[in-house]
Amino acid sequence: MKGSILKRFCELEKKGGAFPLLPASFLWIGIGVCILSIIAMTIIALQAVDHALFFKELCMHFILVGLFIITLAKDKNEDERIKGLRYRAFAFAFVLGTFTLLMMRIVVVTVNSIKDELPQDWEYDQSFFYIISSYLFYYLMYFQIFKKQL
Amino acid sequence: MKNTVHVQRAIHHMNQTELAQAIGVSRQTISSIEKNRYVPSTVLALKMARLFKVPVEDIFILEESDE
Repeated sequence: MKGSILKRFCELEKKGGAFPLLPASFLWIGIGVCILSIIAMTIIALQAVDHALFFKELCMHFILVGLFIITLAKDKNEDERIKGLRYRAFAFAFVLGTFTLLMMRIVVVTVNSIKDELPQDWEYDQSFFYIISSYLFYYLMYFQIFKKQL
Repeated sequence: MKNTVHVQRAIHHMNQTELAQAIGVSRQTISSIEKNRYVPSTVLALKMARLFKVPVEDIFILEESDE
């Protein structure tokens, strides 16, 4: 049962159907979400708004949502070459993003230790750990599935 | 790998846009293939071969650097 679901998923992926891409028009929706969020952030910064910090962080979250929509929106001419380029870009983003985040933490700790300001603990942000571990876990999981099934 | 797509296109009096429409890709993809910047999938290569009515080996030729 489990095997057949995996097999169907992999067959769908082989045809390029399992990876959920949005229609090309969503590019403009994503850009709109980003622009509106930036405008809202500017207004919050200029005006005295109650709960300004909350709304600022909400806007920042929506900028990320907008960028994610742009990332998943199909190209105007989405063919096999564009799909290949998209997957290569995803791979670079994943590896470079993970490397940068991991190195940032090490650089901060190294600089602090040189300045003799080493903290008592690692000061690990939980969300940071969950984001990186989920990326790496998903990567390993899909890599193993595809290796066995495709 | 080199290819003779532009030659085949000229023989069949097709421009890049017409070829792209015939095999279901964008004009930029045809341009990339002709400039050897992109190696198409087997499916696309076979579609071209069928369209030009020649074997795939007549369109895509392996070079020594590929071996």
